[in-house]
Amino acid sequence: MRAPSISRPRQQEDKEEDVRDSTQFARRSDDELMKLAREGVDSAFDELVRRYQVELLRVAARHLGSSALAPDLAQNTFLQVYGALDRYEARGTFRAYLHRILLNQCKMAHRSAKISLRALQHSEFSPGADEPQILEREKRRDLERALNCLSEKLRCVVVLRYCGDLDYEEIAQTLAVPVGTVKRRLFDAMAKLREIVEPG
Amino acid sequence: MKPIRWDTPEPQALAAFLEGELAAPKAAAVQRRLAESSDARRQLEQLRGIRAALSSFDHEFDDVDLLPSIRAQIREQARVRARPARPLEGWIERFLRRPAGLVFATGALTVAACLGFAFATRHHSTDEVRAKAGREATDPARWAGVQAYRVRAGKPEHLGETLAPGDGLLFSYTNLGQAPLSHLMIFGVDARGEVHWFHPAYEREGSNPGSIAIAEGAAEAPLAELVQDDFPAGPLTIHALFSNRPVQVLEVEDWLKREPKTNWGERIPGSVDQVLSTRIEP
Repeated sequence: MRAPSISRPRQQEDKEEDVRDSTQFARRSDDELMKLAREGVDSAFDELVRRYQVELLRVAARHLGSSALAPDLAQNTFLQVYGALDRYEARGTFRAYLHRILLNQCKMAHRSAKISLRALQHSEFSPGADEPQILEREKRRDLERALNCLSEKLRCVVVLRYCGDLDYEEIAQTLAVPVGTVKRRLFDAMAKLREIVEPG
Repeated sequence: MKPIRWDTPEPQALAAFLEGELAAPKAAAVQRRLAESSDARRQLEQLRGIRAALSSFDHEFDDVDLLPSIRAQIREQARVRARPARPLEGWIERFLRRPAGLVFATGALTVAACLGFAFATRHHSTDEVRAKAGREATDPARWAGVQAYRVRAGKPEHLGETLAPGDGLLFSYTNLGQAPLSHLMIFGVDARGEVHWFHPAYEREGSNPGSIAIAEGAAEAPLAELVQDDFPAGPLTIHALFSNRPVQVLEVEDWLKREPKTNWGERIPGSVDQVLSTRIEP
């Protein structure tokens, strides 16, 4: 048998030429990772989870006023993203897309009496805390209660801005409102929070 | 909407000031007011404290890792959704409906749902010469394999004994078991002994692409490209080489030149070489 020569078949893309190991994923954009995940590269999706899980946990915890429920909601958010991999349109707004799903999860959780009860049962009471910790916790509880007094629109903006560290543009994309509206809601929310937390 | 007053700053104006969102004249007005009014200064400090408290989490989530539970959920969903029917054709047909077949037809979750079908249909692929049934459960060869489809006039079929000029080829892969493999390359050797690269694509002289990274736990995961090539009439042998490291195209070509019947298991320890044979019609 003679030695084979080489021909070049026609193919449309050389998509995964550079994907050798998961350590390279850290340098890739969210949209690139979504594309790879859609192609079956699970490590790419894992990188997205690692990249955003803490951020989602914080937003969920503040939005709900309970850290106990945050992992469930953040996990559901990632599962929803995974389930919709083939429908995701890469427009450079993955972070907003992710938070939009999370906020929907939070809204549903707020509506659920069962979940409220569960949150109560999972309250973050730890008997070993010292006085400064207790005071700090009380202060945080006051703030969480104040957040819960805000309308949904105001709470979303303030939580995304200060807990998720999203910029105005990202918040505007998440909520599908103009940037000016985001700012106005944020300033209104802060004014209301101050009135509730520090009356007088 | 009620306008914000800048000369006697309301909390909204102070919040905007705190965020650095006031234009210079308005910021100057607020600063003047702050200099005059202890009440305004107190309000600003309260807002600053609220903002700090909202941003403070005491590292409570720093050690949380959602990944294991998410992965477990995905596996469970895939298991539950597995059906003995023939959903596999679904992704192929959706893929072919897309313009130029450039985009994946289906998400990984849907693909994973084909788990049951992957093995139910294996016996239909009469050209797969690697028998799997008798292998040890821990043998990667039992759990890794590609599925090949012939696409003729937009209609997909499992690759059989023949392939006509103009037919396209589509592949999907399965990578299960206790020790799934990490990389895959698929190439064909035609009747003249020429090597045709399918995955990775290899179109540029001077480049040397490597095996594609594959997902662990994948079942019938589709590979995106519809491959078309001008094969000469005669036998076409398709190799699906699974490995635990990336293998470079030039590495494989070099081995094939020196040893056309390369034993890949010896060349790349731990690798699995699946061979599919078909014939190109004249």
